[in-house]
Amino acid sequence: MQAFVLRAHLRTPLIQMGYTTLDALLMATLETGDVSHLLRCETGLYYASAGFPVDGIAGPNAAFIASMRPEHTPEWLDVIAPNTMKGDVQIGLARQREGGNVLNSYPTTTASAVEWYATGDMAAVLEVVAPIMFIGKRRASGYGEVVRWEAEPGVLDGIVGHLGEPLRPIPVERWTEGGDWVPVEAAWRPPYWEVRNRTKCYVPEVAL
Amino acid sequence: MNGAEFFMTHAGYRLLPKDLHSGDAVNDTEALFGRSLPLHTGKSLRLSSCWMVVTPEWVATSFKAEASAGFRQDMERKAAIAEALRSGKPCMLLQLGKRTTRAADLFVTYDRRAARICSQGSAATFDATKDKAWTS
Repeated sequence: MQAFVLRAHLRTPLIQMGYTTLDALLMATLETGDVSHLLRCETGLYYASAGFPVDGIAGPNAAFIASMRPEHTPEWLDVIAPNTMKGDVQIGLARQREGGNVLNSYPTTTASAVEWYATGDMAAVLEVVAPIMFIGKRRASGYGEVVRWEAEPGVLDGIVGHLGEPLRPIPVERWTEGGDWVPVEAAWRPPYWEVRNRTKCYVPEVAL
Repeated sequence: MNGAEFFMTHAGYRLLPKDLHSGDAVNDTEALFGRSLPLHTGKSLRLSSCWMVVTPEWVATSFKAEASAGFRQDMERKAAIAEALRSGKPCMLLQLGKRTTRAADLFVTYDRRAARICSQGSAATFDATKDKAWTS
């Protein structure tokens, strides 16, 4: 196990929601809930940072219309009907209650790369991520395209940054570095969507 | 303590009938927000379309809960938020619409510099020490 930096060089803007910790990226790729053979892990806490955009600039929001083509599916009337009080159900394109289009908007970041800092098996991690061609959200729309992956030995362990700042969500009671950091409620161990894994944490500013 | 535990401990368990307490705050949160609750007006309504400020000492809300819940209904939203943040203690700021609230929607605010207004499906974060107009 060694400290290393993993870098994904980007071709297109990135849509990053949340922290995108390296352990979560590896778990999603390997479809497993345990990557302790790749990264150092102590009592559930992975030594793997959030993903930090390099030279990142906030871009315009990317808006997408999710259309389910309700006019092509008249049988949806039966599905929508129980949710209406007056029975005045109809199919349409403009309103969500009529099975119409839904507009979703995402903040984009233009960056030359995304970096992770971690402690683990650098070569094995690089081998796992090498086939990943897109990262972040809206990958199928071309966002977060990776040109190439690279890894090199580093000095940060994946928990504490150069300024003594947290590099990933970490419970306040496990934080020993001090400093006036802003505590928020966040998930600190996988699965990160699980409410029960959330607690009072110090977090990097990447997703505050 | 996560948001569901905080909410249920300081507010939710006063509303959820005792026979529905499972001991798991996340499951109990889902149960609470999924059922109609008796109001002091005699009607019943799901816990929605209201604001709520939850602190360990007091709860203020525009929801017309029965008096037995012990919620404060004499406060304006802005004043309640300001008082909760001024105390420096953890609090929860809810701004609920008509959709059903999920346990994942609930976040505790631990610091004025990252005050979180929780709504269904989203939580907006504000620095209450800098942005003077964020509660309006």
